[in-house]
Amino acid sequence: MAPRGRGRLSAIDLLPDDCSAIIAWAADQLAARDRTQLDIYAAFREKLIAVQGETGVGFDIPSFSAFNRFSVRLAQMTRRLEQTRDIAATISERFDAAASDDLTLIAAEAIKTLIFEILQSAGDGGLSTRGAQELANALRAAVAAQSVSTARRQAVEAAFAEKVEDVVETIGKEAGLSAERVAQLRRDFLGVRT
Amino acid sequence: MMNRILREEARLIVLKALRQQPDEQLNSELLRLTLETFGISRERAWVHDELRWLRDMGAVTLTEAGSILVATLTEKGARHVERRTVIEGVKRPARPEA
Repeated sequence: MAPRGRGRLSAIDLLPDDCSAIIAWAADQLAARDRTQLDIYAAFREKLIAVQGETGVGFDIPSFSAFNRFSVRLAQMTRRLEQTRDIAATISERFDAAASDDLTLIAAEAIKTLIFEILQSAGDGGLSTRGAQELANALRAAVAAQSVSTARRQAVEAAFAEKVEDVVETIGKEAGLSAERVAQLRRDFLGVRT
Repeated sequence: MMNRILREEARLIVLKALRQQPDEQLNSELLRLTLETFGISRERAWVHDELRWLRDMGAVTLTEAGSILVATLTEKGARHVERRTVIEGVKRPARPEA
């Protein structure tokens, strides 16, 4: 079983709530790219020390290497979210836009999350399909709801299955997932039919 | 105080993220991850509270999908991102650089 969730908390995750705004400030500075990371770290450190002085709360100031890992993680995640948006945009036109009901909406979100999680898994080793799987289950539940017509149900199921095939096949290959993993994803998202 | 500023900022990040999607919708799990890239690392429940607040302000509509919420941007939410109207309690977007 692949590890789920975010795994071990980083030194930055462990900072108390009083530091939230400083962490957000640092992330903003890193994303802006006008200052060096060392420079931002120095200011980050100073701000944290000021919080310690003001509030009297004791905590460890993260090291520069922890700060660097934080920065790399943010940058990678930003890039993967952008890629997800681009990939989802290219395949979304094949969704039935005319019938934009809850089913279509949930299916689109399940696909987006699946894309992100496949991209993420390639970088981080383990495959965590937490969000995508929850959405796939929600879709199944929504499809099974009595109020949906049989024809509509079948149309959404077929469109969803086709998209999942596309995504798993194309991105799975690009991300270098093993055939075994690809098969597992298919089973997770499409049920045991395939 | 610090908490209020962070929430206002998080709400703007959410609205902007929705605006950037071709379908102007995004689920709470991807929104949670988006917030993380801005250094706002919170549980999904926290994100759900902010989404419900934004819904109550008329900035988004929500669809429940099991344990996840899907947010869709409304006209009012889009107008805030475009600086055409102000929703109190959401950070104002920065002016575009000249």
